[in-house]
Amino acid sequence: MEILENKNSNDPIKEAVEFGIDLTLFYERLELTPTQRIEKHQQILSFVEELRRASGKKNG
Amino acid sequence: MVKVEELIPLLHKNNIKFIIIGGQAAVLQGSGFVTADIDFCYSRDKNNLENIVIALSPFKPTLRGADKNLPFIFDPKTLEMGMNFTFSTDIGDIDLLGEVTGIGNYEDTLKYSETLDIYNLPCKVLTLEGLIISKKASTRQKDLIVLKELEAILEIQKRRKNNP
Repeated sequence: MEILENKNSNDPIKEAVEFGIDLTLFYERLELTPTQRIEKHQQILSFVEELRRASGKKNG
Repeated sequence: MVKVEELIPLLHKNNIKFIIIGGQAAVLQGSGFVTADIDFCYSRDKNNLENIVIALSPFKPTLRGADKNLPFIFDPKTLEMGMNFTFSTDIGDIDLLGEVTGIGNYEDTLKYSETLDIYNLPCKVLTLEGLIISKKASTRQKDLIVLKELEAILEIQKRRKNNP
């Protein structure tokens, strides 16, 4: 996490963290190949769509 | 959800000149952004328009969000007369953009692209720098949110390069 340390006032990393973006997950994605990144994204999207469907059934 | 694993080989097989841009490009560059569609910047040369039509016609493209009664023919002439298209297809939502906001047309966008291996195929993808330029030029709120993350990722990569 040393790389996340703030070195100056206009630090985009600090700004992102303060904005609420969890950059720790970025390091995990960095280890993946481009194809693995797409596949991981597809898994997350499938989960989101499943949640939406479930929410729709419950509310509708 | 777009079937990227089907779409990329299909575009390659049909020799389509394209660059992955937008949310999927951000994902490929390491962003946690979640998007249901895929955006391409495409070359508007005549052969490319014909190849796009040959490749995508079997998946019945329609204009996303348009009135169902609006007459629409997916052919090279239609593509030639327009510039940016948002399609619903049988393999998901596909946006074809002749121009990228803040960058320009396909040839301009090539300068901000890099080749990544996706499903064992070389694909042009918008770089982090290119994504940041396009998001900065955008006025959409969701683009401003992802911009913060992209700038941070670029900074992290710079620091890693300097301190391997």
